[in-house]
Amino acid sequence: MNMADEHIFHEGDHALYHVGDEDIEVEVIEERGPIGVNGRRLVRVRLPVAAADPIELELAEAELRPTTHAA
Amino acid sequence: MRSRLVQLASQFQRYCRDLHGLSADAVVSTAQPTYRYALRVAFTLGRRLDRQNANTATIGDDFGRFAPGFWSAVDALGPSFAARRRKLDQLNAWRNAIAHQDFTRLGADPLTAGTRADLPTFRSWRSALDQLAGGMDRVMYRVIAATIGRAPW
Repeated sequence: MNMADEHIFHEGDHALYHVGDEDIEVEVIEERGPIGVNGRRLVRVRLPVAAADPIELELAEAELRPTTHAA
Repeated sequence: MRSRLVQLASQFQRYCRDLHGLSADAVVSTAQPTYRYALRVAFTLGRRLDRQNANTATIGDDFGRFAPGFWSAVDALGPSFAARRRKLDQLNAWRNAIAHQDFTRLGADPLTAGTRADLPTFRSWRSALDQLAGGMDRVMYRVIAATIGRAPW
């Protein structure tokens, strides 16, 4: 694996996901690899992190942004 | 041999998840940004393949989110596909028996009665899954192309 194949976000990382008119903090729970369209890297995320019954989705890593604070 | 059967089932589950993820991403990537969250939810929330074996039921449920009648479309590709689906479910029944170390049901179940965990069976199931994977890819390519109006990948 070269650097171009590596995920930016890794399991346990927190990131921001834009939904509607707000940014939601999500947790990356699985790196799925470059299996998206044109090799886009996909990840599974849990959102929102603090909820008792969190939602888990798969989305493109490119749809995430870093949080401004450490996870 | 039993470990190879478990590995084969695991590899096929991974393939199915990857094809499903690619299909979802192909649709979402062409959608207006404001629709993308709703589409991600529709395609990937509670996806059975994330937690369960890749058998005909779980695959049909998950790929049925893109268009109804997934297995009917696969079966329509040729007369051998129904038999290949049966082999997939036989493999998963063996996979579960091996994982739980409970082989009592295999002989009584019409699906698996007479099947054995040997090399010829492994090769037969692996060949069937290879063909099934190709058929699933062909169907999903058509479904997604029809959905987004262009070649998806």
